[in-house]
Amino acid sequence: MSHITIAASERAFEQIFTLVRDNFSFSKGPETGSFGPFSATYTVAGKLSGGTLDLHDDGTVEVKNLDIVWTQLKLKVCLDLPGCCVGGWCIIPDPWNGCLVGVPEICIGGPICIPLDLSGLVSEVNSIKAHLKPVYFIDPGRNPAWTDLEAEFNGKPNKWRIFLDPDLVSVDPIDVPASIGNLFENLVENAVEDLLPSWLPGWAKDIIMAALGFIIDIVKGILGIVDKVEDWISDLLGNRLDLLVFLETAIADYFAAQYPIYEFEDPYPILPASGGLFPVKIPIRDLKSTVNSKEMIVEANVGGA
Amino acid sequence: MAFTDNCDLFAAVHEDGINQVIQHIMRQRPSLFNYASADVTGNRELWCHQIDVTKDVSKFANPFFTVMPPFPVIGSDNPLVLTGFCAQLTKALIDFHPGNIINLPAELNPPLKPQRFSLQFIVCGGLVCPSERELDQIPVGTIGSEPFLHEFVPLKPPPIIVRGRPICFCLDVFVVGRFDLTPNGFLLGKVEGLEIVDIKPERLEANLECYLLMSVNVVLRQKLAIALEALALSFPLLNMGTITLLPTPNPPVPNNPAIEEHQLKVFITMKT
Repeated sequence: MSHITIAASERAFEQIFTLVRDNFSFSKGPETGSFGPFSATYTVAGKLSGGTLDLHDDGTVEVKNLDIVWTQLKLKVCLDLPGCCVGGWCIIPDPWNGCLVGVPEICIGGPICIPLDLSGLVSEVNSIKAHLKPVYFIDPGRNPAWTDLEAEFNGKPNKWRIFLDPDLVSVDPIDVPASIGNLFENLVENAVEDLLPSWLPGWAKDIIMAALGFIIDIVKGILGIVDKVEDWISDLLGNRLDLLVFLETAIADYFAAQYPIYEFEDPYPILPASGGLFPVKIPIRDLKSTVNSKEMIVEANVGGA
Repeated sequence: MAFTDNCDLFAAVHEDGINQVIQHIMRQRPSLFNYASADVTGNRELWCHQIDVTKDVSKFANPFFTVMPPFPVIGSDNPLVLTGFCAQLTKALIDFHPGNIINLPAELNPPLKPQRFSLQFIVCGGLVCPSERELDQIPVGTIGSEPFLHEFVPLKPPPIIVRGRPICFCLDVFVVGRFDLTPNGFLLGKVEGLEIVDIKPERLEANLECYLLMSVNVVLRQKLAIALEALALSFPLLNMGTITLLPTPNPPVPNNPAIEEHQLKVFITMKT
């Protein structure tokens, strides 16, 4: 039998998980990917929220329905619009000769960028399956000649850490709402409109833009959008820009190596320093941690004097 | 059956673990277990028992002894005469129910009762016994009361501490007790019975036992109350401001803390 046994109910384990979850955040960008006729630049940041926890008798912990809150999700798609000319029509012809009122011929083309701000979007980590992993940490800054006490006085004590080490992290595709499709088309139109000369009167711009209805299809063609715009954005962010892999890696690395669910010093201070006396510390050995369907269990021995 | 069937946090420590911890404390904080007057602490030759400590104790100049004032010699007053002493706890061992480590003396009604711990320790001590020559150094008469002085001038001469070697003895002491959980989260050992082996006459034994029982209880209260946080190795739940932790009541847990299966157990319930 181990010298020390500590157990936390599933309910208590959820509280510990919440603490770890709330400390997670990610950010990346601006990063740009080139995809032939267009490029995409993104800047993202986010955190985790919600989630349900299940402990299993096989020693695994399963987290489901964990939300990814994208506090920042900015995407800019840039492309070269092929040159084309519109206008040159006569609206009120001169009955004798020429044209009284007409729309001048305007040629447009060149680089345009479509900025999308999807900040606030919520997507989901479908599942994390993990097991508890105790790790003995020796601070790399610790001088090998130091005693444990000197290491503590220098703020570099050894530590036992228990990580929730993921065996699997599965992040769902980013669910871009359908309303983004309309927004995207409006942004394309805005970008094209910005190409028109500024001296053109508003009514003339309206007429030209109405005539440029096909431009949306041209842009979609360049970007390779064959179906819904929102699906294309989701695929671009998640797969082509690799944000899903980035997220899965970031989450796995965070839980597996960055933020332990439980950490304490070794040797462990059992009596505090007082009145010039150094703290009394006991070595903790053979740390084991596991879960079953009811609880998390940590066992350890006290090392010899 | 799960450890947390009736609670949210469970912590237990086995008697073998506690006995290891006692050894660590004795070697790292010897001044908790060794008491003497300054004249004795400064001379290893006068100690009743040599003290085993970790290297850090010497390195960081932590004391081996708690220095205490010497005993006054009854009848002395001007100057006050004092004699040194030495009191050392040289061995300590704990046993949780059911008892299997310590053989309790008949006076403590073995076997060890449920929900109780027993403790065995050896106390060595002695009073400094001065030589006749040392006693001859003490002034004759009372200083400041010479009759031929015209005016009485009260003098307060410094006390005299007689030198010598303690006459050391060792006592086998047995204790039975229980643990309580205090409202501020400490596990407090409480001594219920104490027996010193082979002391006569009985009234002397009773006096010594009363003093030791008082002493052990005081040390347990003031120096060796176990913080719940320490027992549970600072489990993260204990430091969360968002939840309240309370000892699990009876029912569902009949004894909290419990001493059973050679372990000291604590059951905590969480309120969010």
